[in-house]
Parts: sequence; C-alpha cells; structure tokens
Amino acid sequence: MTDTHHLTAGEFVDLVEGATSEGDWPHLAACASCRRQLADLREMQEAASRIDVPEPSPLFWNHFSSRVREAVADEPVAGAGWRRRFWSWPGMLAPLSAVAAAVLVVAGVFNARGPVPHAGATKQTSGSSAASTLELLSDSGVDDDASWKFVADLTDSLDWDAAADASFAPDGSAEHAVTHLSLSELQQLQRLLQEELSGKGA
Amino acid sequence: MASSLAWTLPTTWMPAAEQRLTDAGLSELDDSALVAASLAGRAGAFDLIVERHRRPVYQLCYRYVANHEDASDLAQDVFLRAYRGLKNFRGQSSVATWLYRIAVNVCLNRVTAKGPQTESIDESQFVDASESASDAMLKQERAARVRDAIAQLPPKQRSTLILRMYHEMSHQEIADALGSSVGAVKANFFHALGNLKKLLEHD
Repeated sequence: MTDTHHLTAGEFVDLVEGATSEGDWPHLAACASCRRQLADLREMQEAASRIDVPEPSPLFWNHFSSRVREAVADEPVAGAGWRRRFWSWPGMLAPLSAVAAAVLVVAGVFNARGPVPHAGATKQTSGSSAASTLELLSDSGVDDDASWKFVADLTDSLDWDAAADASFAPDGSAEHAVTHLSLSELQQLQRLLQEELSGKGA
Repeated sequence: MASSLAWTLPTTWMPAAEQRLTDAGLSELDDSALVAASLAGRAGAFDLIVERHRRPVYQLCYRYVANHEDASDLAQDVFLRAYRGLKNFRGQSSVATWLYRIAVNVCLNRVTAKGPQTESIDESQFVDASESASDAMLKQERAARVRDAIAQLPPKQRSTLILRMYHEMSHQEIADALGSSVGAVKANFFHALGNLKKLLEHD
C-alpha cells in the first residue's frame, strides 16, 4: 500500500466497497485529487444504489410464466438425445407400429418363400425382388443369421392370411420406410429392440 | 416391461394423487436438482426454475434497457435460451449466476442492435406517500436521469455495474460471467462510476 502514488482503479473500488478503509491509504491524506475522486465515486455509487426497478403488476408474473411455458413447449425435450426421443411415449408409437408392419411383411415374404435354406444352399433363381434379397442371405447361411432367426422366432405362429390382410403403409410414411430397410438396417433395428427389451427387464 | 413403460410415461399421465406428490417433491428440490429434473423430463421442474428466478432476471434486463416491454421480452428470451442450454449447465456456478450470464449476453446483443429505449418519467411508479409532491417528482427525475445514464454506459461497464450493485455478484463471478479477470472487473466498475458522473453532469 503505497503512500506516494495515486490510487489505482482497483484500490479505489476496494475503498468504495469497504474492503479497505481510508486509514489503509496514507496517500489520501496528502492528495486532494484522490480524495475528490473517492468522494465522486461514492456519490455515484450511492445514486445508482437508489435506483429501483419499477415492480410490474402482480398479473404480469403469471402471464410471464405462461408465455415462457408456451415458448418452451415448442422446444424439443431438454436433454433428450435421439435415443430418448425415439423410445419416449408416445414417440414410440410410430416406430413400433412400423416395426410391427415390417415383421408382418417379412413374415409374409418368409412364409411365401417356404422353409429357410440351410447354410451352403445354392442360390435361388426366381426373378422377384424378395428372392434377390433371399439370394444374398442364403449365401451367408440363414440359420447363422441372427436377424432372420429373430424374425423367425417372432413369426413362428403367425398366420400368413393375417399377414396378407395387413394393410401396407403409404409412400412416405414411417411404416413404408421400415418395410424398405436394408439388411444391415434391419439388423440395427433388431439390436435396438433387443437392447430395449432386455435392458428394461421386460 | 412395465417399469420401462413407467419410465417413459410423462408425469402428466400419472394419477392425480401421484401428480400432487410429484409437485410437492419438486418444490423441495434445490436449483441444481431442478435442472436435473428438467433434463429428466419431469413436468413442472423448469416452471419452478422460472418462478424462482423470473424477478431478478427481469430486473437485470430492465436495468439494461430501462423499459418494461423490452425487459419482459428479454427476460422471456433468457429463459428460453436457458431451457435450450440446460444440458450445458455443469453446476460449477449457481443456477442464478448461470441465468445472469445468459441474461447479460441476451441484453448486450439487444442493446448493441437497438440502443436503450427508456421510459418517460410519467411511467415511473410507487411514489412515497410521506414525501411532498415536489420532493417525489425531484426524486423520480433524478432516478430517471441516473437510469438513463446507466443505459448509456459502454456494455462491459454497464454489465459490471448492474451485476455488482443490483445482483450482488462477487468480482470473480462477474469475471466468469463476462469472460474477464477480477482486475478488469474492478477497472470497469471504477470507470462505470466515473462515466456516470460525467453523463449526469453533462445532462
């Protein structure tokens, strides 16, 4: 604490706020300029401290909270990642129904094509797009493919007539998109379903 | 499976008795726990954060713009941004300080774009009945002049003065909020008071 140099901005602030006292600064007794500056700062601090914010009407606060609530309602759920949004009710409805439709479609194709060929079976020669998909699968050995086993387990007791009666989703819908998933995408969907069912103690 | 569904069901679908218990439980939570509850999707958690902090946030915004309409809009924007940024709240500061930091940024962006739109003296309120009319009017005029002068301060000086004087934030908290140092905060406060003097003398 020097008594030969004018006070710094920080030292003035400490004085104005009462963190230090004038007795800590012998320079003040000898310097009229610093004393005047200190007095001005205290005057302005006092003037600013008397400024209140006009209190709005009591109704304002209820309306304010309502407006914030409405604005927030349009936002995605705070902190929700894509997985949480995917699995949150009723967000589950669309993908679950799409999965159900996909299972029915796959089961329908599955049953229409007959028994699953064993590993090492030769390729089918039908010209249908469903058959083309089966050709790829049979090369890898369907019995060893977890995706097909999963679907087979789900559709074991499914009536083909019931599957055939299921209405197909219109173009652009989530159900339509699911029925056009590739094998890798179906495998990913299967893994997600299994994780959710086993992880939640179903 | 039932427990999974219970986890995903929003609380608004719960039976009324459980909903009342949930509301009572929320009010007992501190601010950090309310943030966690909001992130977990608990209905009413963010409403409670708004209710607890709406007045000081509004007051902070008002001190920047010195009029009710803009202060109300700014304060609403502060809470909307806070909601969007809930997942970024790390608990290293209080929720109040975090909200003030958002408010400072929102207000500085607004005043940089528009400049202060101060209210006329007639819109001041709450005259002290024990004062004479002339004293009350002088007091209001003086207050309006000081308020206008604060609104004309450079942004960081204005922010520092508002946060220090009206929201009792420490120098370190202000430094964190404004992205500066304690020394810079004190310097800004010093210059803010000095400039107030110049503005009032010039007025």
